[in-house]
Amino acid sequence: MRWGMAIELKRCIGCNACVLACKAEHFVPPQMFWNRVLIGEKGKYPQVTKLIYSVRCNHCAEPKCVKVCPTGATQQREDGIVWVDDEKCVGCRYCMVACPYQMRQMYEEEDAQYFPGQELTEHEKIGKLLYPHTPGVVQKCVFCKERIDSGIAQGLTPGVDRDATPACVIVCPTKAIHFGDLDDPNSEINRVIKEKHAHAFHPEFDTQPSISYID
Amino acid sequence: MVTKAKDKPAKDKPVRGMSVKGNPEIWDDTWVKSTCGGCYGTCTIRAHRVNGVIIKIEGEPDNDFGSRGGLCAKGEAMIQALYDPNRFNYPMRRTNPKKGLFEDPQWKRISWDEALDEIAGHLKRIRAENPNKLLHGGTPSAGSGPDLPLGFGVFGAVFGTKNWYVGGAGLHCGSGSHMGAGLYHASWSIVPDFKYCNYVIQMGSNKGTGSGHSMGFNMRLSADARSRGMKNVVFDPICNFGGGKATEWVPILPGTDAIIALAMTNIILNELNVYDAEFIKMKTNGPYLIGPNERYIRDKETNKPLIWDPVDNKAKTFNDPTIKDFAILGEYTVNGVKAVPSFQLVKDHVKKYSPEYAEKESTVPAATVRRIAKEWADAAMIGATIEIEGEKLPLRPVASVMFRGGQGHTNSAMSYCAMCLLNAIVGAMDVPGGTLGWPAYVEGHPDTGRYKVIPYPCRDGMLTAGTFMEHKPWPVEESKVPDTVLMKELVPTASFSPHPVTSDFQKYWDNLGRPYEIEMAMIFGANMVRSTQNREIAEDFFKRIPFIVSFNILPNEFCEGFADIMLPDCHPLETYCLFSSHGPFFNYPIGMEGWDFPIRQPVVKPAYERRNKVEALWDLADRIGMREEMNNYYNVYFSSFGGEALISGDIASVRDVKQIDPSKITVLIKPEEKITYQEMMDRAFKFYFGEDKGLDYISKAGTIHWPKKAKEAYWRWYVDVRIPIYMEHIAELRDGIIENAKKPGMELEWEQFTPLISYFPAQVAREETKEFDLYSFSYRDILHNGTYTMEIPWLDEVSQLNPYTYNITMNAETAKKKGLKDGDLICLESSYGRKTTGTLKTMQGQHPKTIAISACSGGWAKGAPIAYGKGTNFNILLESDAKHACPVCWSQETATMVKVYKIDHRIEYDGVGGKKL
Ligand code: SF4
Ligand code: SF4
Ligand code: SF4
Repeated sequence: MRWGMAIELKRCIGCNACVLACKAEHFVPPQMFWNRVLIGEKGKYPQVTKLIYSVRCNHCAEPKCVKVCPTGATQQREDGIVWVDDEKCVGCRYCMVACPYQMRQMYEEEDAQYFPGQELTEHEKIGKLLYPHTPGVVQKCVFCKERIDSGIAQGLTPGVDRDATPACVIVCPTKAIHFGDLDDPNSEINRVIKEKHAHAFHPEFDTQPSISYID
Repeated sequence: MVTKAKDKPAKDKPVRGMSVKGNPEIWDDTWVKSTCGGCYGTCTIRAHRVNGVIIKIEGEPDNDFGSRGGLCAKGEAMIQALYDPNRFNYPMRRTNPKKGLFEDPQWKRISWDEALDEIAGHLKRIRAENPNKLLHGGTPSAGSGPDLPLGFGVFGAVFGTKNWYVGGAGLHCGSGSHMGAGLYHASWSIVPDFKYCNYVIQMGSNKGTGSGHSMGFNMRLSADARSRGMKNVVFDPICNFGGGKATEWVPILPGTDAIIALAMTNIILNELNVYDAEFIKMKTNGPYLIGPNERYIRDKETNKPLIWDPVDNKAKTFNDPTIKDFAILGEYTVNGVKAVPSFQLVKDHVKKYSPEYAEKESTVPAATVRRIAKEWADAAMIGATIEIEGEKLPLRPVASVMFRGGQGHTNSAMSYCAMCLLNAIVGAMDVPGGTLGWPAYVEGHPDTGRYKVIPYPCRDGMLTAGTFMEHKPWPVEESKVPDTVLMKELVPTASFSPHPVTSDFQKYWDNLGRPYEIEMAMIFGANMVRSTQNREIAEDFFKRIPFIVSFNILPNEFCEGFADIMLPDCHPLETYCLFSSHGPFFNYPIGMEGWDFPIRQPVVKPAYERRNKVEALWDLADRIGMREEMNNYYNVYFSSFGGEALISGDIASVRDVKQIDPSKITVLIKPEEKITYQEMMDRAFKFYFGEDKGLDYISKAGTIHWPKKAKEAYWRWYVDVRIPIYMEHIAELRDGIIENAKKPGMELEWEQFTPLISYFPAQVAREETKEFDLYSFSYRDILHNGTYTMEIPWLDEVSQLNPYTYNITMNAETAKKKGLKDGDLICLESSYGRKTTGTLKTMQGQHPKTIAISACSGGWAKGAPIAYGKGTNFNILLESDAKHACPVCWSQETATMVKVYKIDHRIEYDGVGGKKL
């Protein structure tokens, strides 16, 4: 089993719902992003194309971050998910340097507030209970492993059932993001990847990402 | 659904469908179905509440009213809007007697009773003197819930004021498009039929990529269409949201869309000689005979318009059952005068719009216009049919659409109608694949036949909307000497009026002898000085009003500068709302997407002393002895969806409910009753959908859902109505308008009152000089809506990551020529001396003669610290007067010529007492 995503660029409109769904799902602190929408353009006036890429940790099959982590905090699960164990992370930032996609961020400012200088909102307060963050460690997308694990435990299928599928996937209003098992030749995601010729973002980084894009 | 008191603790219970890392005690884990208040889209949502706090919002996967499970970022961010610590929690009184853009209100908390007593005191006096002294309105602004008609509309109508000031008169809306969509589709706006359409032309519109209308289902359906290969040609000065998803982006100068549409029409009719003759004969006034006076030639006896039957070789009334065929070309003699079918006139008239002329005005190469016209006409597949659910229907898989950008100019009405004409000549209107209005034809719920809206023909056979909430052009009202401060009575085709917030209003009012003064304003939602026209013009008007009441969730520039009493409104996540689900003509999913009547209900109880604003209005009505009349009005309102539209026109202008035959009115609320908002909803649901479908049912179900019939989705050929490709009503109005404009002394561009859809250069183009050489405009950003989204931290964070949202953009080559580069602080100065500043970001994807600002940023309210100083307020640059408004629909000119130069600080913040920038 290896979880992966395929993102259809023709569908994506750059609405950033995927970014905020992730923020809501994990109570991601201010100025921290587990995913982003990169906006740019290519071509010269008047032949111009706008570029929009929804990006997050690629959960690479050959993760450079895992290799450099001196404590074993950054690790890869059998299902391909790369994650950081807060308890083991010492904040050395080697992984941040090693990740060619720059998908990792250090969480330093424990007291950061969404409304600086004002009281914490009820929403921020409950976040500290439901999904506490440890300061001084590196954070990144965890492919919603909690959703996948609890979903599978309930007999649900990630990529098919909402409660077992990453938050950024189900929120997408254009259904741009496909999610599923890359090891299963019959999975919907493999069908889409094949039919629509999905390709990696920056294949030259040579890490075999689990996320691919469809032009 | 409200938060219950603590249930028994259930430690270790997992939270359903949510990542949890901690181990908290969970005593409430509830999903509540409702609708989003992030924009006009009102997508259906399910909100996840844990321990009394909303932690997540998801799109509702089980119905069509939205993106089927998805949501946009604004919707997701509503959680932070709800919990913003800057919100109003109690009624507040201004203690600073001074009013002005940058004044600090020095709020002092007061009780609801004190607030309502004081407001009622003013209302009572004004109602006795002259109700028109009350100006009321706002916008159904997102963030505060769109209870516009049920609350303020009914309140004002019953109170008796005709001064109903809504929207920014086209600034963030579409005066021309609402007028045109009403005329041609009996609807509020239009959408391509994404399911079947193969070729879309968008003119300054953002369907599915940014526009707040129908956002959820548009995002979903347009993505499906792009994915299956629909061609999407976008005429737009910027390649950002709409243009960014185009298969072909065509840069164009602002305000010139009409000439593109007309040149294409010319090529199609006169070069390619292609058109849907059947549609023109049966569905338009193309066969109506026009006399030398530009008017219909009418039957002497019946006064009906005449057509020419080429088989019997004689003139007949347009709906004569003996008609064998309709002549749409040629020239005849009837009643002793030359009689020409209007289609022939239109066809001849557009000959002057050559692609070369279009190129000169718009900069779009003539060859491009020619090619696109040809491609589009070919793609229209005139004559093709499709079978849907057993019904054989015309298939016209092409659509041309326009919204705010294309028609936000002084040629607004003509631009929009020109775009509609393009659809009309190929018959691509409310048929599969074509341009669809928001659903205008509802046969009603299968159990009751209610919630029914059916368009019908006027006496001349023209399409008339079946709902009172739609622009209802027929019969066209007569022009009158204005007696309201909106002055709209002068030009009955106007949608929203920029008056009285204009620099020339006082002059007209003086000339009219100042019939009365506005002594009080009641404004809900909205930001009347930041999201509408130039803030100094607005300041000048609002400063004069002695008493202003504002309902809002959050401090904004208008409340701080001008409100005497602030009433704390509920956020959409903490209140009931009926209107958000109310109106197929507005925002409903198109095509064969099902009917849904979703509920908005509180996910959490309103905190502090926030109140549902409609209930607060009822309290006011009680205090001034007006509740009975409001109850009666509600009965008419709901009964109007019972099978027959009992009232017509825009709700606030309807005052004659007393004349309606009482046997047609179902009494849902007895005059003397004092019910709650929930009770009213319960009764409305039961009336529409049956006794078993009250509030309890719909609260759990989230929506009343029933399938749409092909006949409803694609109603055009099922209703015997026609549309005006020749706008005879405008010719009819012209002389009256010219006459009635004399008294106020208003000069409008009279040439635009022509029945032939034409191109007129926009005011912005007339102001181009060597010095003021750049067209500046603003455009919709998908992250924002109105001004209040700027105050939401999540949206602010992603806006900062976006290269364009908070910056001023211009073409890289143009910037270079002017010695400007990315990151420069620049000033935009209009030829009227208005200035605004911001940071430059250059792009390739922008017309070299333009400079652009996205969304409505540049906040200066002290009570909205997240929004403070972010981005640039474009509207500062705009003029607001009769010269800068479309004479026909009164949309404002939303683009202006500027010069641009480097500057050392944000001058528009000079007067602001807050943080210096
Ligand atoms: S939610 Fe979907 S459409 Fe929006 S930015 Fe993310 S991937 Fe693109
Ligand atoms: S998969 Fe989950 S953790 Fe990763 S970006 Fe998406 S929402 Fe965030
Ligand atoms: S489109 Fe509008 S209504 Fe729909 S989720 Fe976004 S903000 Fe809410």
